[in-house]
Amino acid sequence: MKLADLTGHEEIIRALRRAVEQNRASHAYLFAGPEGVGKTTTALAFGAALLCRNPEQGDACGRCRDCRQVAARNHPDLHRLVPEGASIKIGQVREVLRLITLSPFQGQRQVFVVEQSDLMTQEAANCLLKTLEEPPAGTVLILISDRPHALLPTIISRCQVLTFQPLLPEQVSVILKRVTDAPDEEVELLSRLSGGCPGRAVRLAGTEGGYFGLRQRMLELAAGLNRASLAEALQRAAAVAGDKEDALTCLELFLLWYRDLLVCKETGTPELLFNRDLFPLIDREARIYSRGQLLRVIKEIEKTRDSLLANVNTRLAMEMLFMRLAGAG
Amino acid sequence: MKFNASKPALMHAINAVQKAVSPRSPLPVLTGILFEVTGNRLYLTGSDTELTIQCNIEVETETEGAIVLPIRYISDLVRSLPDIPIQFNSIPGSTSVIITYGTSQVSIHGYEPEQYPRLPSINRGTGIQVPQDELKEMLRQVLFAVSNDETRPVFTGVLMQVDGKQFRLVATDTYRLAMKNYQLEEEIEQPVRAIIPGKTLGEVARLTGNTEEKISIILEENHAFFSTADLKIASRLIAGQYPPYEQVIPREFVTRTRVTTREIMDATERASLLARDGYPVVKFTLQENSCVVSVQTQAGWIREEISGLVEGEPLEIWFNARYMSESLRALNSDELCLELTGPLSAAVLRPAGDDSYLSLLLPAKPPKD
Repeated sequence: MKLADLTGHEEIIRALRRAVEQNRASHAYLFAGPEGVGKTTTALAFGAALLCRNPEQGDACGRCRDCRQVAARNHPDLHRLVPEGASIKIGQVREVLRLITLSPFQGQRQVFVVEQSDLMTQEAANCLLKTLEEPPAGTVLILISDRPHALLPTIISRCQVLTFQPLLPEQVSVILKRVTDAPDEEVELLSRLSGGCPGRAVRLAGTEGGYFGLRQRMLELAAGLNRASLAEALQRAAAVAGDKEDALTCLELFLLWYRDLLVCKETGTPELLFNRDLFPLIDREARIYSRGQLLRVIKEIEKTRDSLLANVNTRLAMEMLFMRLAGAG
Repeated sequence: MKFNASKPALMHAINAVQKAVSPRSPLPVLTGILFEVTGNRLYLTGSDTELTIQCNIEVETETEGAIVLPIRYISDLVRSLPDIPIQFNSIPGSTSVIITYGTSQVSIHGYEPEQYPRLPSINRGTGIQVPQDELKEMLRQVLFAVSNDETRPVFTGVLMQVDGKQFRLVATDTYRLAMKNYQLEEEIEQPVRAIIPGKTLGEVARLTGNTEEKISIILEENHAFFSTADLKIASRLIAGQYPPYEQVIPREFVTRTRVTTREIMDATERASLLARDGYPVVKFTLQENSCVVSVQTQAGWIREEISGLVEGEPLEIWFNARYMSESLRALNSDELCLELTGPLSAAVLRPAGDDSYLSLLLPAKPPKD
């Protein structure tokens, strides 16, 4: 992927291309912004531009050996650091530091992309500080984080911070059409509810049965939950509590769903709904709940999502939520 | 690509290069071996980017070409093939190869050769020439002093320095230092220096033969190359400045002694058996015409007196037993000169009558009772 081929983030891409063109790339960047907005994609494209042997106007040519190696993840001077389990450990950072001290293999530069850098343990982050401040010539470190506030201030102050803003729904739909084969109405819906994060939309589109299939499964879980017995609620919770990612996706969809119910209850019109295509169903469901109940449900879901992100036991958190929702009616 | 080769030749080449290949490399292409056929030679390359080993063997070429084959399969496969002519034939337009042996065939999927990291070309001409056995011995004499501490990377490498006719290797972990000089036959115009990772030099020492045949060493901007007729080893360099080691080598001594290496080595090793766990120090007492090696701990005591020539003041000094043994073993000489500057400052060990090598050792603090 070339910088020029990316959709959105025009300001950032212009700045990065200028840095490559004028050979003034900073030694450390922090790409901050919501999950799935395109930070890693941009970092890899930037890495390609830095490593390309015939850059064109600050961008990778896409044809040379280096560019093809980057595309196939085979470039010896482009290193990616991802969390091992729940965190980036000091051993991983030490390995990076060792690689940094070696001269580049193929060209003049070495690029390191640290994904989810906020998951570095404190020891790991401290270990990186000195090198982050002043790495050997030709080294570019790109830290990526959707929770930059969780990074040490000493890390942030050593980086040039680029903040990625959510894309417009039209831009998300361009990306969705390019990378997935989701049907048009699904693309349209996903681009509206992705929150400007194409990565999230692509993930939802890529689930089994596409987004509509996923939504159908979630709606079955939500439907009539307020009248369900305790045993039934626990059974439904078990269906999504097996995997943390699944549980988070489920919560995301629940939030959108109950938000739609609330909006429909207040306005009675389909214009402001995400799941516009299901207006009759939403209208019917909305009548079952009172405004206060819906607000309480939404708060509960948000609370559960925060607990999950803070590493609470997935199953217990989901069971708790479903029990509360079952009691909501 | 199409060629015929014998199993022993292929095995020899795979064994030589596979040390550099990690089957768990994060770069998919580096989990393979690059096969390249040019003329009637097959070049096999393995790399973990830090160390790259290339070995070439003679084959019967039908068409030239290249492919990367995963080490997991190719290495065990070739090992288990019968000892009959083996034909490799890559399928045009794909990244697969068909291996034919007798009436049987096997096909392996690989990677595009274009994806394989390319070493920069050599620009500085021929570099220097050293007999292989000499280089092997030189490396043995300095590699023990390389540090394992990754937090100070320059010390995990060996400084290689060429100036005029002098070729020098230096290694230190800041507690000891080893330095070896070699006189080249031809003079080098441009002085060069580079820090080469100790780990890769260990491989160079392993792969070079015990022959007088020469190995050529070329230091480039980012790599050091070691090449013989059928082998090429490339190592990445460690970036950074090597500390000014010459300043720490003392020139004046208060006590000198000349003793038999074997005797002092055996005495040190025996004495270390009684040394305290976690602080294995041995006491050396230099007095008139003898050196006494002793240890006294709760476990008991040992005292060995080695006769030798001692000049200067009598002195008591403690050394880490393991460091002392390693330094003595690296000397490669029957007799040694031990030169001391004081009970708490650096000591120098040299082979008697040989100025090309020295190792420096810092003493240990006397153990507290």
